[in-house]
Amino acid sequence: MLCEQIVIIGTGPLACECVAAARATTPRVSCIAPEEQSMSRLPAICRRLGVEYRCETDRAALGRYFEAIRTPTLVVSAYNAYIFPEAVVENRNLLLVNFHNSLLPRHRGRNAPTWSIFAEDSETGVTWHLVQSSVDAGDVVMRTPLVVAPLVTAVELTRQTLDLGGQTFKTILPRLWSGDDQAVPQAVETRSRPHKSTDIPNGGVLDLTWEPHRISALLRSVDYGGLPVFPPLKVFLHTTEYRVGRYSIAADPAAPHRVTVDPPDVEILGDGLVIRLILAGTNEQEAR
Amino acid sequence: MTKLLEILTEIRPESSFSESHDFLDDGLLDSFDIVMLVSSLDKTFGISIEGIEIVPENFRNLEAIRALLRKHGVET
Repeated sequence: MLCEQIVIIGTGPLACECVAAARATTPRVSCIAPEEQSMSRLPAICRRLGVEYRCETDRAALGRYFEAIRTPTLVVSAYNAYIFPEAVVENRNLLLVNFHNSLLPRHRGRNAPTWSIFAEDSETGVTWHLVQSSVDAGDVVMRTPLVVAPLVTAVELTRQTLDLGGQTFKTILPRLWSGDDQAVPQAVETRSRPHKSTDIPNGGVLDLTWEPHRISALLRSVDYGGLPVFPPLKVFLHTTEYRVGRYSIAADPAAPHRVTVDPPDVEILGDGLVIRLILAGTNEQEAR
Repeated sequence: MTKLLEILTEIRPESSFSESHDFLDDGLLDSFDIVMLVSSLDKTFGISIEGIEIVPENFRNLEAIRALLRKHGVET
């Protein structure tokens, strides 16, 4: 299908990159933010590039909009939480491509960098794929690997994957725009249940008996640097529940295996790491 | 260049922060940039900016960020 216009749906830095690349390809570009974002560059970038921008948080209205498109359209889902309903996926006027920040089929669903870090993957990546009715299950247009740095946090890895997503989009855009939608099916046998936004590694509980490398992975996997993605991790000491406040992790190849717990301070040494935690009371304790 | 401008320019080298009165409206920073900025400010000035302080009002321009730093005892 030869496309005649491009619609970008998303809110973050990847949507900005996609809008810029799309606008360099055709003037027929529009952009939809499916959620309110008070700290997004997207409205300003659209204004600057003369791209029509609107925020539409009503899922039913979004569905009706995409269902009603009759012009051949490339729809780019750029780190977007809106899931296209069946009727949209079946609209033959749409070429729907979605960005996912892992090497699919690994870590389908939400917060993929979290799960890459928690699984201690040495490599992750980004995938652009065609949209099918199952989440993150469509045929792959392009997969690009990315090294997971040893002490990277979830917010840092997310940012890296979004940057890589922007770069790779520029590579696939000419193909898609010219109607080449060749894609490769995902490996069906390794598909797992997609992660939901409410899934938290280890149920959000930090176990101090774990090996230091696993503790490090859990801490970094939920670290979005102040963005409210996950609640603070919990730690249970005897029968008392604490929350992890601040933490630091440094490499020290000579660190002997040792755990020192002296609330609110916890120091975990070993596996070449020095991990320091500051525990905070639970909300209930602080209210008393 | 002040330390604050240096940090901002490291995060978004293509942006002219000293010429903008509203980094968010002008499209110079987004939420990920602000998280990186908070992390850099914490490390550089030895402070601890909390999650509840990560709101647009505190990062709209140089003066807003300086005011936030002043709350943490940092003069830039």
